[in-house]
Amino acid sequence: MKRKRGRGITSQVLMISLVIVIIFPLYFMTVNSFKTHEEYVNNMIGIPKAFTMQNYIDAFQGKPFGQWFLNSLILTAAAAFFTGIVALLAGYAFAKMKFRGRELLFGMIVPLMSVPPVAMIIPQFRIIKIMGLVNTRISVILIYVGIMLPMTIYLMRNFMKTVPDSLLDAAKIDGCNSKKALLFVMVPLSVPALITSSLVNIVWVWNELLISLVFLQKESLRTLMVGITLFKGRFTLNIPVIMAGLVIATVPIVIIYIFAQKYLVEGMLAGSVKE
Amino acid sequence: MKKRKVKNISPYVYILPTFIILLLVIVVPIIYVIVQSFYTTIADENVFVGLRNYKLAVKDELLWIAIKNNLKLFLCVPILTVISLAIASVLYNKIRGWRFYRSVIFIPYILAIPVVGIVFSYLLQYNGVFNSILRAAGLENMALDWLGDPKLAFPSVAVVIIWKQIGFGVVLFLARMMSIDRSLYESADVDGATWFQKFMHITIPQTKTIIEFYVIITLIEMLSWVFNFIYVMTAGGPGNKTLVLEYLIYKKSFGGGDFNIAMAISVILLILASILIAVHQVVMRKED
Repeated sequence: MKRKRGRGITSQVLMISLVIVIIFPLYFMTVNSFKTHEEYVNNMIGIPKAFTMQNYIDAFQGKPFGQWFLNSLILTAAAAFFTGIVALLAGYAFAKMKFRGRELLFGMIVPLMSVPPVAMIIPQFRIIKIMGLVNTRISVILIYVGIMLPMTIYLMRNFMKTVPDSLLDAAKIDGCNSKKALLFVMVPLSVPALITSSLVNIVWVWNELLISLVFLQKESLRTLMVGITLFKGRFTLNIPVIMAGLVIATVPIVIIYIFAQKYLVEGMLAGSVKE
Repeated sequence: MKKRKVKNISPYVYILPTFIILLLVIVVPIIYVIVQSFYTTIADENVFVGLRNYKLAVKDELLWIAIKNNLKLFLCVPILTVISLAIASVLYNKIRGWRFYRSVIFIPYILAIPVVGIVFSYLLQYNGVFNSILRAAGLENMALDWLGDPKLAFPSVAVVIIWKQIGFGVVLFLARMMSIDRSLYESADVDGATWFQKFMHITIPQTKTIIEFYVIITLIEMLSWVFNFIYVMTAGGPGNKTLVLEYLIYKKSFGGGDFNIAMAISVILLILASILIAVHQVVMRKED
């Protein structure tokens, strides 16, 4: 009994130290976003003595921060939405329809989720140029959808496989064709899987850097992640303003995590490991 | 008759959008990269040059530095695996507050790499917080330029990557451990097994398949998904000490304009990635 209690204390000490290591960088970022630069220089770790919102005001007024935020929001919403729709259709076909080459085609899609994006950037750039879509949101949305599709289809198909055929058969007896069966039976049942995979996609697009860096060179189209990376170079002297920018970029993701942790974590695990 | 024909076509209609998009975004680009890696552009004309781009890439020591650094990053994988397993098995005992710990440990995994990279670059600066803590603790000579010193930059970046990725492994392993039959542990307790014996003889064998998955996925990540860390924290420096294949490709194409050599290096990266992806697929199938 005594030994067990001793081990409990060791575990708690270990976990609390781990929590400190995890939280400290986030604490550092948040706390310093409310300090003046002068205070930051003298007091990097403590809580602000003179609490100020000026850094947030500066971030939005001095730089097109609002624009960057909006750009990220548009790309994230559009890419997640289209990925969901396209994956819903494909997932349904792979899970519930019989056709020649089904397993082969599905087997070809799955490994595409691990292809390194950097290796495809040059040809993607040339294809986008031929399509006349250089420096457009559509180009980046298209690439995001393409990169997210394999994983999303994989999740949707695995989920839809668990829906009993009898439900679809019943719908067919009631006179539904495959389109109606999808719309009225499958879609409502797939809402949890759709939410789960969309949350993973939303977090991924919001955090994405490389593709938006390469494909959106126009200042007015820049995303938040590219923005804060450039921001660092321009505001190097005013670190609290940079920290305010980082907080603004992080808050949406943390909100999602707080309210939908179960779905988000489930999706992230299911995407990489077979159930 | 007509109706039947329509019925036969429809599955392909459902997967058509997927195939058009994947063709455009992934398949055609891969084929293009492979083909173009044997060509070069001379006076706006595409000229076949055989293996020239590969010879030039292989002769450049940067390629070997980048490959070596990616291999060094692979060392993060056993570290991540062991630490994640250890943390997961502590939480598995349902210590007080384990749900809270699990939630907190997962946070870095959902954060954006640019955000993490920028925060850590301020923490690890020579005049940054980390060093001021060391100085306050009287360890003046331990206060070093963590990202600027050629000897320290790579380990520092690796630590940041581990910090960011650790939560995924913990949650993954913990989820698997939760499904282990409790009675296995109970009968081991009856036999008087120690914590370590139970870990080695029950926990590890029961989570073996998930460990295999984790190791492969994480290897793929260390090869194909570390660009952001390098771009934000070190830009491959100092002195190419943190140069990785992804960053080399980016630098060759958008910094130097050596598109065809960049594509030859891309093919090398794709080959290395395919080996890992193939192993991943084999392990996935084995599970069936």
